[in-house]
Amino acid sequence: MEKDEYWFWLGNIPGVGSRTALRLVNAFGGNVCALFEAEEKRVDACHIVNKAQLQSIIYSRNRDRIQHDYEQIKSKGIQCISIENSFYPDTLKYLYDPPVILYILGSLPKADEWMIALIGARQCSSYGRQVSRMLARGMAAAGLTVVSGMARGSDSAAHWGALQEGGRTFAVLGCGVDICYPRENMDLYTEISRNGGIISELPPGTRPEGYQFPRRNRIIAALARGIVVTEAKQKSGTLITVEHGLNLGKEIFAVPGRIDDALSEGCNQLIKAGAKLVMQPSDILDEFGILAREYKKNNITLDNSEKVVYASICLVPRSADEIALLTGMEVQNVIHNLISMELKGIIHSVGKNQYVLNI
Amino acid sequence: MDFKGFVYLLQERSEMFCKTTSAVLIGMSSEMITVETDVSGGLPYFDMVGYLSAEVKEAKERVRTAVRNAGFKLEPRRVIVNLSPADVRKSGTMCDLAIAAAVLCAYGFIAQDKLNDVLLIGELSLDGSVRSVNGVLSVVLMARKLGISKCIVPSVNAFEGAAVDDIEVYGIHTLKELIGFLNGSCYVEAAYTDKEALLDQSGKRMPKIDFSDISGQRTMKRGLEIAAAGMHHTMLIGPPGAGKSMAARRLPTILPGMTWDECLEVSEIYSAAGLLKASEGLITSRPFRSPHHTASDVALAGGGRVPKPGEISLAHRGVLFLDELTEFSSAAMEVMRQPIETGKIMINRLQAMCEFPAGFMLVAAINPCRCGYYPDVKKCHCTPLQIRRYIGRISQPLMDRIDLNIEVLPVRIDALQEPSEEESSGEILKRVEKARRIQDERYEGTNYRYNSQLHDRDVEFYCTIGRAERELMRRIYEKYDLSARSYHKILKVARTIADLSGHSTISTEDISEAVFYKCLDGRYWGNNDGKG
Repeated sequence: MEKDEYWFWLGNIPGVGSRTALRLVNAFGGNVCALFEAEEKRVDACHIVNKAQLQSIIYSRNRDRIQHDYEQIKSKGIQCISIENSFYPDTLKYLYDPPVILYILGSLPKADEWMIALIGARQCSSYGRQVSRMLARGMAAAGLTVVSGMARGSDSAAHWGALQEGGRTFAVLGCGVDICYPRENMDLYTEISRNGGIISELPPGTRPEGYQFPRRNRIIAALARGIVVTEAKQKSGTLITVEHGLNLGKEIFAVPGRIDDALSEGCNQLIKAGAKLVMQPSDILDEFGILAREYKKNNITLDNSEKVVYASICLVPRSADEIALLTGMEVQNVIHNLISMELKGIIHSVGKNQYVLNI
Repeated sequence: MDFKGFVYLLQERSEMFCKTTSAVLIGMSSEMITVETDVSGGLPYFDMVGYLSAEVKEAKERVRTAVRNAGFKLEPRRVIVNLSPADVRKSGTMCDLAIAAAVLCAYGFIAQDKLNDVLLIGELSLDGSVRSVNGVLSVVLMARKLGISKCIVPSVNAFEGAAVDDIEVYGIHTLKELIGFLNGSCYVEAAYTDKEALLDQSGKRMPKIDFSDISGQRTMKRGLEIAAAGMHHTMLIGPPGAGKSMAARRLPTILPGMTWDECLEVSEIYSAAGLLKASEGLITSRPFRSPHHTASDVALAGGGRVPKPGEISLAHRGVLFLDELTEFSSAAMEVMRQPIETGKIMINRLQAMCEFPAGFMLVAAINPCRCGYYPDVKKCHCTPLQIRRYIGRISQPLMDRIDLNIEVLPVRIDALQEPSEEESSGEILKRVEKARRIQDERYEGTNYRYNSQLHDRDVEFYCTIGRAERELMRRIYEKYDLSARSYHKILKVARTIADLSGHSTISTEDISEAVFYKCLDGRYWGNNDGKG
């Protein structure tokens, strides 16, 4: 068996977590093969595992089955990178409990790749979605890689933003990499696996379960150089990632919101506690001494009445009625201008009758 | 008439056989029934035959008692009543009067020639008075078609019959009056309806509500104006309290008045359903039906042992308003699919197969999600899945049949506190009527009446667009990922918008506006990702 296959065995023993696994390997002088070959008595003598875990270890030592399972995963095009592998991201090793093995669909993170985590609420507002996208585009334009969790809302917007600029992006999942969760993100999932990768520490086939998601957040935090929060409530999974990031000494950035806005409360608190306030991509890039590069702006000309309507559209959704009231135009004219601008791609509708700016 | 005279009559006439004409209502159409009576010697006996349902069998007792109480003495004889054709199931109480008349004729109280070419309908009360029945209008229309010149109906229903031209209709109160009238000893005036006055009245009976009651909400009002002009099926979607129901209830105030033919058409349905009230007369204003969401599929479509029209038929030529459409049972929703397309519904039951007209305009009001606040994510606590599930209760095929989708947003406080000058229903109605006239001219000689009825294959012909509009439609088609059906729907709505402004060709503005009100796509509603 190869080295990665031994690690694959170790990473998949029921009841043995990554922390215990690593302690066991250390007890055997860092040699995972020795652990595999060791007699039951010797493993027990380390006093690291209890009776049940010991049984589990002994029982799982089945070369045929391990090799069979390993080949199965490989045949799906999924790469298994063990902690000893040279491709294993170094930054993960600073974690208290680094994943023993990583499963990756797509390409591997490069050693010199600069990653920024862009995270936020699933149930985000259109403001949060727009800002996530805009920042992700800025990161991608500057050559940085966006890492996030492929969840609904902000995460998806960040991935799409990076893809739009032709940048690389990684998604860390809380389920097996062969499972697309949430299911409606199927197109995003395919795009990410082509222009970056899908990463998970959970073996392929693992169903998404609530408790797995906070744990994957530590991988996002560890992979990234800085963590940007676009929208977060006071108590949310997003802030768990930030917590991990702080423990690892990462830079924290937050996008401000209105003080009465529950979705921005987490962000505003972070800023109060010392996180860097972000209004544009350069605010993040400056911190790392990277020059912000202008990303593609739409070069679109508007006629006079369109300009009037455009001026009354912002990041907060506005309805045609409101715009008619603000501009004093007939509602039919407003509608005509809205539709023509939506076709030009500079605004878009949230729901059916509410329009926001594309930034 | 004394006994001697009676014996004389019996001797004079070789046979004591008599025939009268009546009708039964089957669904909405009526069928002519011949009532034959034979009085002969033998043991006293009274029987009725001819595939009768319970209420017609009971007529035996009603007729005998009513005849006696009306002052006619029937000698004990062998009396057989036959209702033909024998293969039609007779139900309802409509035949009472004709049976009584036939019996009295056979006993010689009326001459047979007085009953030729006369159709009698009405239910008898034990004291000999004539009570109202359902479906008089339908019966009189059928009688005219068959060339019958006189109809005798209960006086309460006389106004219905009078609405039909080229046929004499008499309303009578009692059996005694009937015999007097037939024998010429009593004068009854033929019922008469002043059509002009009736149609004029219709506007005045409208409840005192007006579109100017709604402040702001201009997109909603404009949407309903378009809907009214082209009879487009419409969905109002918005949070609770935004004024969806309020606006829908004001819809009748901007619908054009009915023509006399439409009045008859609608009144006929109401007459068959027993909903035509003498105090209110014919239905002269467009129906507005709003069944509660607990209504079953049968309540909507119509049904029963002998089918009766349901809500969708009662809304014929008018509006069927379904508040909280998502709360209706899925069976009730699906039952509307076919009638929406064809404008009629076929009800099949063991005893009858009936077709009811169902050319209604559907107006549905729904909340955008369970809590009602989507897409305002600050207030809405539903997950995308919950939102999609909620909207998903309305099946895509039904959703596809809706032309206009209007998103209604909460009323802004400024609009409430500083009411601006709002357009009245009368002004909107003028534009709607103009658009209807244009449609009438365009569709003269075809089966169509409104733009919404256009079949996909005729859309290209009636909704011609120029080069610029074609280019715009192409971009719209790609941008919004439309289906062929929604492409045609946008054109139909654009046609109505052009009609409203009196333009003969569809402009890009008309198309933009139609796109704004385009059908909501269940696939994207509630999808929160940032791909857009």
